[in-house]
Amino acid sequence: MNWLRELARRLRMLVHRRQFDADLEEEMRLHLELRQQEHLESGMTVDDARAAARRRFGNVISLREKSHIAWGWEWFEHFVQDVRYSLRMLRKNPGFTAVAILTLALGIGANTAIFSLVDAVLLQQLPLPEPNRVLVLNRWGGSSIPYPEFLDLQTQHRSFELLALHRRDTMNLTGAGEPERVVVRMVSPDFFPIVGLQPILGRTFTKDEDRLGATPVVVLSEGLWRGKFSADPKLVGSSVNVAGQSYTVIGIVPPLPKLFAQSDIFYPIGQWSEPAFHERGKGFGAVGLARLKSGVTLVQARSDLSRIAANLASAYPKEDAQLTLTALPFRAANLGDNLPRILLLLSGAVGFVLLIACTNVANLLLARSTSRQRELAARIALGATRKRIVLQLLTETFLLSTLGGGLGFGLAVWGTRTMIVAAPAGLLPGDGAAVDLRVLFFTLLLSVLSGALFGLIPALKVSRVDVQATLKEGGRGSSGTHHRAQNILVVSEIALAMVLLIGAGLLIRSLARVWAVNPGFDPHNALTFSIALSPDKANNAVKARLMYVQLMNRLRSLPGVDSASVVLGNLPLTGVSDFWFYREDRPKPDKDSDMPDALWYAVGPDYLRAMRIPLLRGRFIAAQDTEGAPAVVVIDERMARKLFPGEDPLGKTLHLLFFDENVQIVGVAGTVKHFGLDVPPDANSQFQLYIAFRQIPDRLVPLLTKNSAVVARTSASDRATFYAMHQLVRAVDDQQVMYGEGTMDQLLDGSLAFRRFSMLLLGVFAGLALLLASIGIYGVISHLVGQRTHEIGVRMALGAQRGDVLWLILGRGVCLDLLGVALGIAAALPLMRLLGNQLFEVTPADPVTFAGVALLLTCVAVVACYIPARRAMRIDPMVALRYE
Amino acid sequence: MNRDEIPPGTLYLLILKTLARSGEMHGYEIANSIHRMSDDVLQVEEGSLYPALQRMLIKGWVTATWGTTAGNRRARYYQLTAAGRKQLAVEMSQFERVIGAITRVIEAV
Repeated sequence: MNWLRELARRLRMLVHRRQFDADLEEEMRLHLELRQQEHLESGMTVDDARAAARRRFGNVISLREKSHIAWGWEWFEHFVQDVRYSLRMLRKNPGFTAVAILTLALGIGANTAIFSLVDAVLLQQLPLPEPNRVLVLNRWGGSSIPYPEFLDLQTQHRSFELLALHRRDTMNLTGAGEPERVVVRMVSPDFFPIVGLQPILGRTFTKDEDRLGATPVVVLSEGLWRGKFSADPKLVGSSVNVAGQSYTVIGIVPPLPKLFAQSDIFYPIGQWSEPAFHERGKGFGAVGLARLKSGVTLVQARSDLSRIAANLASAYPKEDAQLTLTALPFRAANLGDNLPRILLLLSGAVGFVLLIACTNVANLLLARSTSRQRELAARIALGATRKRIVLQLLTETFLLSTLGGGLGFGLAVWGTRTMIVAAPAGLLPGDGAAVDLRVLFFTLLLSVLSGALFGLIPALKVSRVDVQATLKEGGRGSSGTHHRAQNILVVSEIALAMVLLIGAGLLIRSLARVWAVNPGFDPHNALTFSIALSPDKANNAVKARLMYVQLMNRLRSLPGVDSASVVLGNLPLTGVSDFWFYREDRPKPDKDSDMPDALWYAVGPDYLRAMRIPLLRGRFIAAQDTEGAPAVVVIDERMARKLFPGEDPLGKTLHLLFFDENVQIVGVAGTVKHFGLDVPPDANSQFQLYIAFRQIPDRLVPLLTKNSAVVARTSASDRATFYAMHQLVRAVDDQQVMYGEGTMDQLLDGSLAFRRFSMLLLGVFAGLALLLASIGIYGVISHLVGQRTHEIGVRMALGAQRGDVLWLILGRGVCLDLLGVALGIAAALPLMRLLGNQLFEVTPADPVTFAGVALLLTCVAVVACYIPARRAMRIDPMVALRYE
Repeated sequence: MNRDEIPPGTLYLLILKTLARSGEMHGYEIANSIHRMSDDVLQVEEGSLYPALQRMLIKGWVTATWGTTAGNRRARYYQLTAAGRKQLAVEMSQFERVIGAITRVIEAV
């Protein structure tokens, strides 16, 4: 406790240190006067008495300082002094200060914003209980698990504390106000504890409720309960109508963690009566989630899963031969491939921006230090130690970096928000990326580090100033070495900017190339929406077909609508629904997985017309291809080429496994870029098949109507058209729901959102780099002109022409620029390979981009140099010489 | 008259002892007192009392209060604390140990 009391005494002194100094002075004065009095009384003269008293006392000033220092606050007082002095210096040079702070703010802000994303996506703990033990099951490299296999896993596993299956679906909620399309999540009971959902009312499912034929029950999300049912507590125990069936509500749960798409209704997955769902080998997009038993490692769990896979493979050789089952940590499974890559890319880019910013400020400081040498030399001559000078200079730079960091933090808050808004849906974890304390800490660290980076070298350099030479030289300062350091900094700045600009340039060119790709259909003025039939029609093949026919006919008669078709199965750029088939005239492959597979589109006769897909041979689906007529199919051009090389596909027969039917090829249509413009044609193996929606087998109709869309070719894609369609859909049947309206243009746009986002961000950062680098080169050349005013004056007095002077200065700048450009190209060549699949039909060493960027950078450098060069050109030799 | 510098490290001891003997004193009185008690032999550079007093204030060995001198001048009076008394004992025994040792060395035959 003693040290505490001591600290308290020291602190008291710090607070009252003015009073303290006054007291000490008074006390010493009293001492001196009393002694002087004594001497006087012993008969000395006044002067002698004072001198004697002083001699006996010692050096008053030094003793006062010693007494003061004894309290141990010297460092603090120096610091305060340095800060005051630095603030004064910064205020005296507002231009320098503003440029330095702004430069740092941009560098630090960009880094902080990107870090807040990295933090949210990669570093922050997942909002799940026991987040590090939650796994996603992985089957055949995908995540969809067939239900029977899940049941087998449940009985055979040894590694999990909890194991759940869940899948998302959308259904109509009726009987409570407007019919509404709601998101239904089918889950097994363990889903709730794995994601950490506790019911706020009622309960969640029991194991007993999770099987076919059990009492139909649902759990509602808090959002739906509050929104649709005004948070009525009596809802628990009463019933709701989903997809035409009545369910008892047994509980209300809070919203899902942000990692999952929100769901309105939860339903026991085992109750789902879709027959195919209960078949082995059919996935239905159900995802397996598990929480490891404590003490079990991921490796152990994986070998456990491999063991089960082997069991299943031998038990069901037909469906599960060579089955692989494994598990991924939740985060890895959830991130996908793209996000970590783009975050890495962006982190690198903002790192470069910060480096440039620091280089810039270091350069400014160096330039200033030359003009400050006299001041510092004078201070050293007056007794300041070099340590004090270095500390003072460092204080100045840290002050700059702190101010820059503060402003940068503000920029980052704004930037992060903007990024989240601008990011393609689903790329970033919602509002999860916030600028929080960790990010603040990161900014602080960054500010200090950058302060050290740009401040230390100039400070050390300056402290080595030769006092005598500098004072003698009369303010021009010693040149030479300073210029070399400045030149190196500017060259590296330009090189860094070059790398970023090349990166952005490659991405821009890639996007332009992607836009030039023909999607295989005409997205302009092609409207699309999803439609959910009322339950009684959706589950009845005859009624469903009739409804679709009726819808298409009525839609076509709307003003402004040229053609319309229903699409079941797939819509280009949206889902992936494929099936296996084989050529009927060839032997059937032994294993299903050896068969070719195809994306299938079950459409009406107007589909090609509505999408403007070219028909290449034969005919398309026609009105006569009804449920009774012989089944027909139209294949895509790529399939005709690959599967029927040198043959005529027309008239050939295919066997479709999913339909268990033979269909005859009647036509060949153009291939559509189903997976997006930037996916190479052979990246996916699927061919494309068109079948008549009327010829879907009866038993499959209830399943397939769940995912039906309409496309229509219109003369205008505006709200009025959608509104008219909406009215029409409701007029035909007021229990059906139209949702997900959009244009094919929007879908195409959305499929490129990710590419555009990374290009945009990299472009912004590259632009920043360009701006900073041009400020850098401008600063250096300006400084050069300032330093050489005298020399230029002499040259002009000796007959140099203005043009000569202009070239003298400009030449210097262009020289630096070219050196930086060359270095940048050398660095970019290996670095651009990191862009990988972000590039599209552009090589990482694209000469056009490289040359264009070099030209751009050189132009900017010339402009940045021209301004000070013009100033040099206008120097009046008389003024310049007299000034000295 | 021959005057000697005080041995290093003993300034605290001298101040503590002086204060212990006479209670409250200001800086000038302390200096005079040390000077007088040593029969004018020990010469303190008087000003160095003050840094020493500051260090003793920090350590909590003495406290200071402002008062008035006989000549009606404002002066800062120093007083020993309990901690200061303890410290005096420590310094005394330390000093005696050192002096004893030195004496033994120089008196050895």
